[in-house]
Formats: sequence, structure tokens, C-alpha cells
Amino acid sequence: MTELQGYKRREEGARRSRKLRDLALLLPFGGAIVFASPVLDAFESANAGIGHKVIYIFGCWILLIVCAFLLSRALRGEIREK
Amino acid sequence: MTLSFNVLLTVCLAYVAILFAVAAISERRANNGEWSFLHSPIIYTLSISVYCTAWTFYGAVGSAARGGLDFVAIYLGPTLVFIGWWWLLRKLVRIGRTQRITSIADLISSRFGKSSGLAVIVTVLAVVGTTPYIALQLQSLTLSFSVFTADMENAPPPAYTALWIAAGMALFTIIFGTRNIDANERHYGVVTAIALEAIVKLLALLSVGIFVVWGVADGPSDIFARVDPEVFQTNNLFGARWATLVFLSATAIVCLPRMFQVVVVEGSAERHLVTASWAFPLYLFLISLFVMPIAIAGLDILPEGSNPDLFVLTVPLAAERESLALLAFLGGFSSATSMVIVAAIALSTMVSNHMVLPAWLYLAKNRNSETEDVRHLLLRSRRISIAGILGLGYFYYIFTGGSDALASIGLIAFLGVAQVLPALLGGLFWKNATRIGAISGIVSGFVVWLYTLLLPSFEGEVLLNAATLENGLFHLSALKPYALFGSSIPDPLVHATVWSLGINTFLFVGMSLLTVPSAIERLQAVQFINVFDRSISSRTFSRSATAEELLVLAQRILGRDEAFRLFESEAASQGRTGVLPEPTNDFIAALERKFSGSVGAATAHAMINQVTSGEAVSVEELIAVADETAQIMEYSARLESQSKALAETAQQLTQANQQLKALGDQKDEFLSQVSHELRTPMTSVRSFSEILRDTKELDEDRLRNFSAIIHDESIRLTRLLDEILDLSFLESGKVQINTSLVRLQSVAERAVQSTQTMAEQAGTRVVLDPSLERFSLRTDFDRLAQVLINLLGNAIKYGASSDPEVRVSARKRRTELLIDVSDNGPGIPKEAEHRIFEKFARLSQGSSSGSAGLGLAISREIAKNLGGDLVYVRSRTGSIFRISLPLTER
Repeated sequence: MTELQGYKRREEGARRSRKLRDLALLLPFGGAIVFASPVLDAFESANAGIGHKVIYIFGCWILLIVCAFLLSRALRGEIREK
Repeated sequence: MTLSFNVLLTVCLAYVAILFAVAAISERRANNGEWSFLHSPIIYTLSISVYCTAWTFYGAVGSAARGGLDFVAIYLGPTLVFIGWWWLLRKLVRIGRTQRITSIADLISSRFGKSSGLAVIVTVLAVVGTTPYIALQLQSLTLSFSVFTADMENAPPPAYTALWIAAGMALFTIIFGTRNIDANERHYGVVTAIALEAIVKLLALLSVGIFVVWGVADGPSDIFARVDPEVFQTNNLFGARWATLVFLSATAIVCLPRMFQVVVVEGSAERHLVTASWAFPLYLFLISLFVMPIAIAGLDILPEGSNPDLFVLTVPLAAERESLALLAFLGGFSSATSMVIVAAIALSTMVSNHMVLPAWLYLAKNRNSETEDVRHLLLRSRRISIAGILGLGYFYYIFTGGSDALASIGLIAFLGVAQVLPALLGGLFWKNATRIGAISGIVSGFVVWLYTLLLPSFEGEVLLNAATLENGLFHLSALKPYALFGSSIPDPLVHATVWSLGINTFLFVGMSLLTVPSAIERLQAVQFINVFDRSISSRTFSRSATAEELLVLAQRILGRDEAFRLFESEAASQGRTGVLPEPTNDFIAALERKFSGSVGAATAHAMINQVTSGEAVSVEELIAVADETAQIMEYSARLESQSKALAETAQQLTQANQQLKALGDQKDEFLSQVSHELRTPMTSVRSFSEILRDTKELDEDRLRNFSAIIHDESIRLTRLLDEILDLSFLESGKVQINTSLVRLQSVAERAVQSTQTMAEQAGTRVVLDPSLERFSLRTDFDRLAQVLINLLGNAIKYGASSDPEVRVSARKRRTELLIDVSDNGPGIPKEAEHRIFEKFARLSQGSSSGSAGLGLAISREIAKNLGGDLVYVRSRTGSIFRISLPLTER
């Protein structure tokens, strides 16, 4: 039983690190969609001031940085230096 | 009250002195092996902030004041690259470390077969793209100086200020940037000083920002309430220009020589990247956080017509906050100096490694260059290059003298170095990319960039005159610099980006597909693309050189002590005493990599090749480096064949084991049968001889009778032993065969004669078929007769019937002669058929038949020894034993 559990745990770990790596690929694409696509202008009403856009950009930006921070914590173990 | 110029100068010099001190202390600490602080990811992250130059420090606010949020795009591109570090930057840093890359030109040339031509092209591109940028920094600095000295009588002219600044930076760079010729080693002094400058510029901008929001205005909402809606058009931020800005700034983070220097060359650890992946975007976020408020405040409180590029300085000054203005000034000073220092180091490395040194090597071919020290040459050429690059920047500044052309040079430079991008990405991810493809792409992109963006930016003053700008080269409308091939893209930057990178990429891919990479290109491609694959060992070409020659070369590049240390440790690891190791391929390759950390891959390759005798590339090596897929296929095919061979061997072993077991069983059985067969006659011999010994009075008849029995049994024993001996000889194939031309009829007649008495006693008729007369063959007469006698004897003995008849006949089948001995007896029971040729097999229970059951076994062995066989053929009318013999001449 313990052997099976150990195997399952390893399998789970490998699956998790694969997912993390995929997520690391996804994050810049998410960023590109938020910042470098027409999504940028999607939530803009005709007469809204510049404040809204500033809040949108800087809000998304800091959110992205937090995501990158969490991801880098998780991926730290994946880096193996010689 | 304004700051006096002398105070400003004093603060400036004090700041520079602090920078020198920090650099010197960290160099000393690095030499003493105290790494922990210097080697931290925070220092790495801060050093990357060299991205934020004076152009961004002052210019971002200016840009925001003119065009709203466009400036953010310049920071969003790098953010995207850094949060996507896993798939690009990580690979770059790993390659930089394993291949000991010294610059972006070195990376490109190393990937495409250590081509020195490519290195020169990228170096030229980098110098052309960076010199205006350095001029821009000088302009920013003198402009910021002039803010403080505007109403001063004895203020020095801007050109004078710029000269002093350029000279100071050259001095700093030469002192701390050329301590060591191994460009692959970190410049700890420079990096730490830059990290300090990064903190200063961030603090400066944050301080001004906080002052503006909470000092000038009444919090964020108040600031945004002061916005002039006329100026800040916020609708439809996204568009071609926005996308181009994000793309170009993302490109710049890896392609700009100074960015490559701090991210890849100075950054030697991937774990630093883990921290920088979020910390650098955070830095950019903080830098740009207050840009908008400062711009808004500047537009609000400063008189109309003020230069928005100087709002960072003029807003605090207008509010009479001199110390804050001084801090802002130091921030701008930091931004400009850090950029110029790193750019000068990066460019001087490229120029000396890829241009000066190869040229010197070429010239030195004709002289005795053995004794000359490359290190001194390299250091001198780097120092001169640094001075030269700063001089070039200075003259560029004087030449364009604060024109608007300079202000837009930042983005123009971004696009210039972005021409490296297709070759860089192709080199990292596309195996079929070739050197010719890279050269075509970069050169064409460079030319298009010059024609559509850089030269037109001088507004008709350099090379292209105003008429050409308006009408196109040679008055061809298709060649209009701002509307190439009749395209109508209003923004010149977007227009140039689309055309230069489009043509660049197209030619890069197209020419790569049309050309075939050389062996060394393939080798490098595999090493770059599969850099994370541990199974790819660093393959090397077969080269040979004497250890002495290599040592001389190493001394010239690495210095005497370092070279001796390296050679001794290699010799020790090879288990040799003395200094000189065996110059193995691996050692030569390691040496080349070591050299390339100093002089770049292409030059190192060329230098090593000068002393080694030719690169021999074997077909195996080519196949091995050709393709990863091919490698995997080759490997799996080998595995497959191995496992197949293993399975076959296992099966063979099982079979052999079974045979051995069967043989063992047979041997045991044979032995027990032999002992049994021997025991019976021996018992009777023993008992009768005991009677003869112990009985005193024995009459004559019984005496004779008993003796006869003993004699008969002895004969039987002898015959049995003879038969066993005969059989073992026959089985081992050692028997002597005396061949002669034999008439079958006479053999048969001999056999009939021998069995005549037996046949008469049993009343059996032996018939020789007339067919026998037709055949004669080359065989052993006696042995064949022996077989026939045995078969006839068996047939007579066991073929009992009412009218027993034994017939011998012969016929030909293809190249065989078949001799049948058939009887009309009861035949052999089916279940016993398989046993009849076994030794000691007797179908009748009694042993009275007088034979040991070896007859058929011997007969079959004889037939086999004669090149044929003996088989039993089942028949309804009795049993048939068939001898087959070859008819062909032996």
C-alpha cells in the first residue's frame, strides 16, 4: 500500500510540475492579451476619464506581477543549478 | 533661490566618488571571495534596471505629457518577457553560461557556426544602433545641467559639460570594466555601482511622484481631476503603434547590447532569473507609477511651452524644493551613466573581440606571433574601444546638437537592434536556421531600417536629401522611405517595423531553407536548441595539436599562471605527472570554450584552429549531430535491436539448456542401460566361474558346458562393448569412411550371405529386387553392408508371419538413392515407432534375442556418416526401413 501511495505522490508531483511549466508559458500570453490586444480598450466607455484606463493598466500590471511572484515561488524548485 | 552650479558640481562629484568607492569595495570583496551579497538576485534585478535610461527617466514624463499613456507600452514589453522567463530568458542564460557567451554578437555568431563575419555584422549593427543612444544620454545630462545653470553668467557651454561627462564615464568604465579580460566573468564593481544607481533613480522618481501627488495636489483623485481632456486622448489606446511599442520594448530587453550584457553575460545563475521574473516588472511598475501624475502636474502648474522632458526637474524647482530637484537630478544622472557604462562595456567587448582581434590575427599571420601577448592587446583594444565609443557618442551629440532627431532615437535604436531578433529566436528554437539565412536576414533588415527610419530621421541632412525622402530613391515611388512599395502606414515607426522585420524574417527563413548548414553549424544548433537536454554531451570534432603549441596559445590568452594552472590540473586529472596533458579532443574543446569566454567563440575557434591540424568530421559525427529526432530514433532502434538480440539469446539459451538436460537424461539412461546390459553376462560369467572354482568334482561335460557359457557370455560382452565403442565413434564423427565405387547388388548379396543361416532357420525368404542391379555409388562397402545386414537380421527376427518374406529394393529420387528393406510381418506398433532408433531400445520384452538394442542406432549413425539417413516408413503390409544415400559424386 505504502509503495502505491509513494508512487501516487510522485506521480502527483510530476503532474504538478508539468502544470506549473505550462502555466509559466501561459502567463505571458495572458499578459499579452490584457496589454497588447484590443481587450485594452474593451472596458472603455465613451466619456470615461483617463483615471479608469490608468487603474485598468496598473491594476492588471500589479496582478500580473503577483501571479509571476507566486509562479516563481512554485518554479524555484524546478531550477537545478549544476 | 536656485542651486549654485558649484553646489551641483560638488554633489555630482561626491556622488561619482561614492560610485567609485562602491565599485572598488565590491571588486575587493569579490577578490576575497565574499560573494553572498554581490551574488544575490536583488543585485541582479537592480542591474537589469539599466533598461531605464535618461530617455525613460525624463522622456517618459515628456511622452506622457505629449501623448498620454503611450509611454506605458515601453515598460509592458519587458514585463511580458520577464514573466515569460521560463521559455526564453532561462534558455538564453543557460546558453550564455554553457557556451561562455560574451555578447549578443558572440551568441549569434556562435550559434551559426562560430562565424566571424556574422559577429562583425551584428557588432556594426550594435554600434550604429547604440551610438545615437549614448548621444541621447549626453544630451539628457547636459539638458538637466542647463536647468540649474540657465540664469548663470559663467555657466559652461553644453558641449563642454558633455565632454566632461563623457570623459568621466569613460574613465569609470575603463577602470572597472576592463579589470579582467574574461568578459564572461561578472564585473562586480560595475554591477554593484549600477545596482546602487538603480536604487537612486527609483527613489528619485518615487520621491518626486509622492511630492507631486500629496504635496502639489491633494491626492490621486485631485491629480486626475486636473487632467486636460484635450491633451489626454484615452480612447482606443490599442492600435498599431501601441502593439509596435510593446513588441519593440519586449525585443529590446534581449537584443539591446547593454541589456544582453546585464541579463545574459553578467547574470550567470538561472535562480537569479526566478527572482527577477517578478522583481524587475515590479521595478518597472514603480518607475512608471508616478509618471502620469508628474506629467499632469507639470502641465498644470508650469507655464505653457515648458519642456515636458524636464518636468521631473522643473516641477520640484517650481515648488522651490531644491533638495528634491537635486535628488531628481541625481536620478537622471544615474540613469544616463549606468546606461552608458554598460553599453560601453558591451560594445567594447564586441568591437575588440569580433573586429580588432580577428584583424590582428589576420595581420599577425605573416609575422612571428608566438611571443606576443593577446591579453595586453585585448585589454588595450577594449580600453581604446570604450574611449572610442564614448567619443563617437560625443561627436554624434555635437553633430546633431540637441535636435529633435535625437529625442526619437530611443525607439529607432530599439528597431535597429531588433533586426537580430529573427536570427536569435530562430537560433534558439529552429534547427534548420543557417548562417547564410541569418546573414541575409540581418543585413536586409539593417538596410531597410537605415533607409526607412534612421536616415529619414535626420530630415534630409544625412545621405538622403529631402527630395529623396519625398519622392523615393531614383524618383521611384515604390522606394519612398515612408511608404515603401506604396504601402500606406501613417506611423513611420510602425511602417519601418513592418517592412524591416518582415523582409528580415522572410529572407532569414527563406535563405535558411535554401541553404545547407555546415557541420559546425549543426553541431552548434544542437547544443543551443537542446541546451537543457543532459543527454546531449558536448560533441567535439577530431583535432590534433601538440600540448606545447596549445600551452603557448593559452599563455597568450589566459596569462602564464592561469595557463599553467589549467594545464597542470588537466594533466593531473589524466593521471600524468608534469605540466603537459595529453591534448585530447575534449581538452582542446574545453580550452576553446575557455578562450571564448575571453575573446568570443569565433575568434577562439579561429585561434585554436591555427595550431590544430584540421578539423576532421567523420560521417558518424555528422549523423550524430544531424538531428535530435534522428538521434532518438537511432537510439531506440539500437535499443530495439538489442532487446531483440537479448530475447533471441534467451531463447537460444533455453533451448540449449533443454538440450543439455535431455542429453544429461540420455546419458544417465544410457549408463544405466549399459550397466544393465553388462551386468547380465557378467553375472553369468561370475556365477559359472565360481562353480568351476568351488566344485571339486566336476564331470567333463558340465565343465565343457560351463566353460562354453562363460566363453559365449564373454563374446557377448566383447560384442556389446565393441558396439558401444563403434556407436560412440560414429556419433562423434571420428569414424574412418573408406569410399570406393560400389555396386549395390554386390552389397546386398554380401548381406544376404551373412544372414543366410538366420533366414533358413526362420524360414524366411529374402528377395533381392532386380532394381538393385541398376545402381552403383561411391560409398563405404563394408559399412553399407553392415547396415543392410542389421536391417535384414531385424526383418528376419521380428518379421514373423505365416509366409515371411523380406525384400530389398532400390530407386532413385532426385539426387538420392533410396534402399528399402521391407518385410510382411506385423510391423512396429505406432506408439513404439519413435523409440526404435534409440539405444538399447528393444520392442520385445525378453533379452533372449541376444542383441543389446544398439543395431538400429548404429545403422542410423552409419547412414548419417555416409551422408544419408535411415528412417522407418510405416506401411500396411509390414514395416519398411529406408536408407537414403546421396548419389552425387563425393
